[in-house]
Amino acid sequence: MNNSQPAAEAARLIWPITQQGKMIAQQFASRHEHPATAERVRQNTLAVWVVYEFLDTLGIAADLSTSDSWNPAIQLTEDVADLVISGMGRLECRPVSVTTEPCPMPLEVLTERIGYVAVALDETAGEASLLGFTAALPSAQLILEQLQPMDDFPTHLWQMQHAVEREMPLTRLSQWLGGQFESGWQTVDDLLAQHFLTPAFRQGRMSAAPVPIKRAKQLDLGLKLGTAQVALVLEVEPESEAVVTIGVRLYPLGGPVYLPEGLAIAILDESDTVCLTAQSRHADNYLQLYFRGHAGEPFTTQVTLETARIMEHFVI
Amino acid sequence: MRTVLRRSNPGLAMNNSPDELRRLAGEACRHCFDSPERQQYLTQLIRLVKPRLWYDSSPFYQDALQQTWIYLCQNLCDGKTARPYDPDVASVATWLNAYLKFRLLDFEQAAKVARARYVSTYSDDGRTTSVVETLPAKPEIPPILERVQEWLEQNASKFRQIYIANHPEINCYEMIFRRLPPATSWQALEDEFGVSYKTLESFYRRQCKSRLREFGQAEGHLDF
Repeated sequence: MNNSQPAAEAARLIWPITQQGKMIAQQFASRHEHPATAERVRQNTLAVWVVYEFLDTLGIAADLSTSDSWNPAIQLTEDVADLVISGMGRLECRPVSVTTEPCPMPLEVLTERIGYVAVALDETAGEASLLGFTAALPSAQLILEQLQPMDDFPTHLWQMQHAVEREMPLTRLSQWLGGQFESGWQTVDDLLAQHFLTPAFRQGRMSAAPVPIKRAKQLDLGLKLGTAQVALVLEVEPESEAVVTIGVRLYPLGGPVYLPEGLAIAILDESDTVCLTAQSRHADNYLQLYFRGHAGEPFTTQVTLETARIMEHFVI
Repeated sequence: MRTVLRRSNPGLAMNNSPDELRRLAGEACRHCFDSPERQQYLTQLIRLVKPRLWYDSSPFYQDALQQTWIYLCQNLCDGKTARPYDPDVASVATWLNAYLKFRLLDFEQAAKVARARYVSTYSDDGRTTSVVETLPAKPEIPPILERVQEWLEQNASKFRQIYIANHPEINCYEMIFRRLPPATSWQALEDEFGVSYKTLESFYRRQCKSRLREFGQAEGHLDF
C-alpha cells in the first residue's frame, strides 16, 4: 500500500451501495414529478441507506421509519438526508461532491441535528465513501478537511449519549414538599390539557388527605421513543419526618390508550443498581412502581423501549 | 470501566499488513460486543482489510461485500452465526475472502434460478412469455405532491386556526402551502410578513412541520 497518501484520503471508509438501497432510492424518487427533486431524493436516500447499513453492521441502532429522509412529504418540502439514531436524534448523512468543496448545507439541516456525516457517492463503482463526521457546522457548510475520521464515530456517539445523561439536572423532591417544582414538571391536569384525554389518567387515588404531591413530565421526546409519547408521573407522600413513599407511573400520552409493548421502567440506586422494574405487556394502559425512601437519598428512573433510554435523576 | 479513547488515531495510516490486521482483530475482541471500542476497531479493520479483498465485476459484488462485513462483525470474536475467526488458521483477509466468494456464488446461483423461471412459461401458441409480463400491474402510487395538496385542502379550516399570535395570516395552512414546490424562500416570507426568519422557522417547525411529518409517515410505506 502507498503510505504517503494524505491522512484524509486514507481515513475514508468505503461502503457498498446495495441493491436494496438502490431500489428504495428509486421508489422514493418515483413519487416526485420534478426531475431535480427526484434526483435530490434519490441521492439523499442512497447516502442515508449507506450510513444506515454501516451502523447496522456495527450494531448501532438507527430508525429509518421516523427519519425525515424516509418521509415522502418532508422529502418534497426539504432537502434532508437525516437518519434517526435511536435514543439520540437525527444524524445528517449528507451526499457531497468532493469537487465542489466546501459543501453548502441547506438551511433546513442546520437545526435538529446531532451531527453530520459526509458521504461521497460513486455510483459507477457501486460504492460510497464515508469521508468523516462533525458534531456541528459553525459556518453552515461542510469543510472536508475539518471532519473527524469514521473510525472515531462509534466512540463519539457513545460519549455524546453519556454526556446527555450526565447533564440531566437533579430533581429535588424535598422542594416539592415545600411547593417548589423544577421546570418541566407540571400538574397532571396541565400536561393532559396539552394532549388528548387518556382514560387511564382518571384512575387516580380517591383517598382523603394528606393528598400526595403529584407532578408529571412528558418524556422527551418523539425522537427518543419514535412516535410513542409517555408521561412520567411522580407521587410523593411523606410517611414520617424522614421517610416518604414514592409512586412512579408511566402513562401513554396523545393518541394511544396503551403503552407501547415492551416499554420498561426501572428504579436505580446511587450505584446504578436496579432496585425495582416493571415492563408493559400487550395492552397495558399504565405501569407503576411504589417504594419508600429516606430524606437525602438519591435515585434514578430509567425508562427504556428497545434501544432508547431516558434517565431522570432525583434526590429525596 | 470504559476508558476514553485517544482522539488522534495512529491507525489512520494505511498499514494493512496481515500482522497489523491480526493485531486489530485481537484488539477488537478484547472489548465486549456492542462496546464503542469494539465498534471502533471493527471500523478500522473494515477500512484497512478492504483493499486486500477479492474483487470482481459481478452485479452482486456490493451485496456480497455488505454480507461479508456483517459476517465479520458477528463472527470475528463471538461466532454468532458461524465459527469465530481463528488467527492461527488464516489471515483476516483469507478468512473473509472465503466467505465473500461463497456469497458471490450464492447470488449467481439465485440469478440462474430466476432466469430459468423467467423463460419457462409458454403461451398457447408456443411463444415464450416472461412470468413478469403475466403478473398483474402494480397500482400506480400517486405523486406525493398531489397527496399533500389534497390533505392540506381537507384540513384547511383547521390549519388556518393555528397561527402566530396576532398574525392570523401566518398560519399553518399558509406556511405549509408556501413550502410546497415552487417554494417561497424564507427571505421572501420575511419581507412579505414582516416577521423574522427565526420566528417563522420556529413556528413552522413546531406547529406545521410536525403535522406534515405525521401525514408523510403514514404515506411513506415502501412496496417491499
